[in-house]
Amino acid sequence: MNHNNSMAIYWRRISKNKMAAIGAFIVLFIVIIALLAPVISPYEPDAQDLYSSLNGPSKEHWFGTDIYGRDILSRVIWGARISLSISSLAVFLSILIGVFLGAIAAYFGGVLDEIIMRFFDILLSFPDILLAIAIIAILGSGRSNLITAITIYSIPQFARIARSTVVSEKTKEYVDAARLSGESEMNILFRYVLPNSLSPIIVQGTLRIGYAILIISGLGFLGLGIQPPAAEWGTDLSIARTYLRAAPHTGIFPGIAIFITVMGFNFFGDGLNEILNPRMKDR
Amino acid sequence: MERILEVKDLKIQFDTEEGTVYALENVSFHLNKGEILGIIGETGSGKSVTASAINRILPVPPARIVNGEIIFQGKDVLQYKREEMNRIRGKKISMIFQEPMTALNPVFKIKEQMSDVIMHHQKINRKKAVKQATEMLEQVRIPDPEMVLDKYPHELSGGMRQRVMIATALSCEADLLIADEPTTALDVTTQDQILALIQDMRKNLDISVILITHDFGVVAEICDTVAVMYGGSVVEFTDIYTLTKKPYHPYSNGLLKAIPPVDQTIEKLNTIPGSVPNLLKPPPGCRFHPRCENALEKCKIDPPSLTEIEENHFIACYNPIKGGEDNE
Amino acid sequence: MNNTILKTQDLRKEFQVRVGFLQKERKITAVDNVNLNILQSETIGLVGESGCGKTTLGRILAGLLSPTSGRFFYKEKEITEIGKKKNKQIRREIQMVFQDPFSSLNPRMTVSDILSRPLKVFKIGKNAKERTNMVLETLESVGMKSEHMSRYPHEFSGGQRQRIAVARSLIVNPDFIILDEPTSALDVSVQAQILNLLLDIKNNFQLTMLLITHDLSVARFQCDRIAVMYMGRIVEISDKEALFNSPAHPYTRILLTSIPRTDPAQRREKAVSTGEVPSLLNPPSGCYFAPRCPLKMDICERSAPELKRVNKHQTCACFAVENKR
Repeated sequence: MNHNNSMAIYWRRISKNKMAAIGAFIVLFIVIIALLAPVISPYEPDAQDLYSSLNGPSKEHWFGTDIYGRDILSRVIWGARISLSISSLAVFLSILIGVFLGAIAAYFGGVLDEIIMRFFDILLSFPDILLAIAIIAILGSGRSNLITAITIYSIPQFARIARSTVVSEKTKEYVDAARLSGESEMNILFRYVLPNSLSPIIVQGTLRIGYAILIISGLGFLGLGIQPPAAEWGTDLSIARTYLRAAPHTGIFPGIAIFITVMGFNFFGDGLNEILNPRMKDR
Repeated sequence: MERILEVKDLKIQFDTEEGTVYALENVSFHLNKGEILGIIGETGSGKSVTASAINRILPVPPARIVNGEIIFQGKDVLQYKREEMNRIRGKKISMIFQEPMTALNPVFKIKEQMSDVIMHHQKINRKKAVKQATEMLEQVRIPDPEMVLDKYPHELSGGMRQRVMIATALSCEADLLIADEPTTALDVTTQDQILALIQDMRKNLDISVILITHDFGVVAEICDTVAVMYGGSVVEFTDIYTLTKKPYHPYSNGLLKAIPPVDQTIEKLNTIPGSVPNLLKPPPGCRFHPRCENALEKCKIDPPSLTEIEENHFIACYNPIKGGEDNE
Repeated sequence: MNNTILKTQDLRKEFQVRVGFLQKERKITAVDNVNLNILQSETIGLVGESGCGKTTLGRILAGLLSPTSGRFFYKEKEITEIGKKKNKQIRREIQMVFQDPFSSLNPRMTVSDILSRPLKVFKIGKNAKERTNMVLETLESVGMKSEHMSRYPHEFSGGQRQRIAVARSLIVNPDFIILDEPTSALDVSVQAQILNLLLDIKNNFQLTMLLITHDLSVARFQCDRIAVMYMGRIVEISDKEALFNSPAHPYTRILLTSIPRTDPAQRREKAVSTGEVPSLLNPPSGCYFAPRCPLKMDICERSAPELKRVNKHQTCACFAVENKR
């Protein structure tokens, strides 16, 4: 078996696993849309046209228009950009911090482990959305505070996963072998143990991006997230609520966008889990 | 002599996501009533697949039986329906494994597990079954059976657990016992006791045994006949005395000489170059030819079949060791 | 020639174990006051059954575990912590080869990385090119080829992986190598290759080796002297030929006769050994082997015998053997 071959096996597993393939397709699709938003969106997302307010889907406006006459398709496209960028940045930051702290706690153990993990246990005892609301209530709304809030409540999740994988990985013989090769403990942790502990973290990261998108929309819906006129699915949904009877399309399209995106990340994450840890299913 | 089991030209493949695994090919051997047959081989030799095929516990798919017969007490096991096989398994053929912990349920006491098996096969009540379990444990020389019956599997040592497994397997009065590496997880002193036990059981209960192992010493200690497997094929099959004295197949010979002896100090070990074949892409012809000193052109193209070269001495080789090298 | 390279004095290692849920932690003694001298350029075997403490002792000597009490000296210098900075030289000189070649190599490093990392860390070799040459040379000395350098561990068979592991321990030019069951995860035909290789290496590099094994025939092939362990204690240390020809300790005798021979003509009628190894949680008083010992005397249940010299070639911890003399 050579390396190309094992990549080929991964690829075969992805294409065999229908859920993973669908998830990967959705995620890829949304990422492309978000990247190409300025090019593909037919209108400016915040261009108002009060004469064509609350129009249904038509040739000019495929998804119709909202109360201010803004093109909903364009807003959904730009919304992807905001949701994805905030959620992935927040998840990325929480992986950096959470994995670092969790790995250190696991690897060195003892009092350090107790202090770090007990603190995270306290954080974990709050429901995610409540914690996020509390943080935003303190810091105020806005994009960077939103990222901070999501990062803070996500850190303990990654710390826990990193801790459990590092605890099992650090007992492998290659770690002892590295010690005999004179490597320092920090080097062993970051060059040897962590790279071998990444697959569950990647899986969790994917699932967490989906979840973060849901939280962003939720906060937007409550008026605590991204503030109008920026295009954000949850915020738009909240505005649409008032006119849902007269113009249901104003809510349906952002809603579908949230649904598909979150589902895509969940399928992809679950699929990745089966691909990277195939034993869970095979045996 | 009565043949209890005969395996004829068995060929099995596995369909995996990496491709087809050519697990067994040219597997033939037989076992007489009351004898112990050793199947010896290294990693990937197919010895465990063979055992599972006899007991029909191979998962099908991914396994696929391409060819062959497994005649047990005059009938082909492969032709049995699932329910018929379930009746035979445990009742006529029992099996014990390398790690008894995986075969025992950790949440039930030994008493419950053993009597469940006995009740399943004999339709007697719990009280009688427990009594019989006690007798079986005495038979496998467990000094205090009542105490052992009252324990959970994890409270017993590895050797003790293997005795419990043997006792359970024997309680169904099976005719054939398949032991898959029964002593591999045990220390030598415990292994010694278990091997002696298997031999005693054979004598007292008139049971036939297939012992699967990677250890030539184990085979030499208790087996009557032996089948040497390599890369999914039986390469030599004869009685144990002939095999250790006069092996014909270059692999059997090489394997015997690669074992460091206990009784003398030697300077250098005989080695077989290379390593065992990958059964996803087995070499064409004889699967041993890339590592064989005696290989001919023919060996690279056409796999040799198992033929009787002397009375009761079967080999699959075009160019065997001349006259059988005398190992004395 | 007969200089002591490594010496232990009453080395002891205890572990705390929790037996069951809500139960108090209990202490087991994995290595029980071990005194062992290892001579320059010899291969000494450490044999015993699973759980006898042989691997724990090996890991202490490699500096991977610290002893609970006792001292050990390497080249007449007392070692407290091999991992400490000032002991970097010693860290390089004592290397270890592990049992399982599937977990002892980092799956995410190429062979070339695995072998060149220790060179970098110990600052051996002037530049990358010199280090690459050293990697190549070492790989060749264990029977591997240059084209293997850029591959990952999973691309190799067990035997090849163990060769790579041996190369990793050799590349830093050590004086003392601890081999922890180096062939027990391998097939017989591959084991023979590795055993021959280890013997060649020992002769070519003038190394001192400690071979930990449960397999007495491997020890006979490889070692000059053999120490037999039972429940954390060394019960016999003998020169190889003496140990196999006239084992002193009754446990050694049972161990030797329990090994199945590959010649069916040497079959025995009955199993020689009786009973099982007692649990380290409730060790018997006195000599740990007494409950299974055919030579047991009254004193054996009261006090533990110490290693005493039996003859020029053998030392043994047994009252019965002492009495006979």
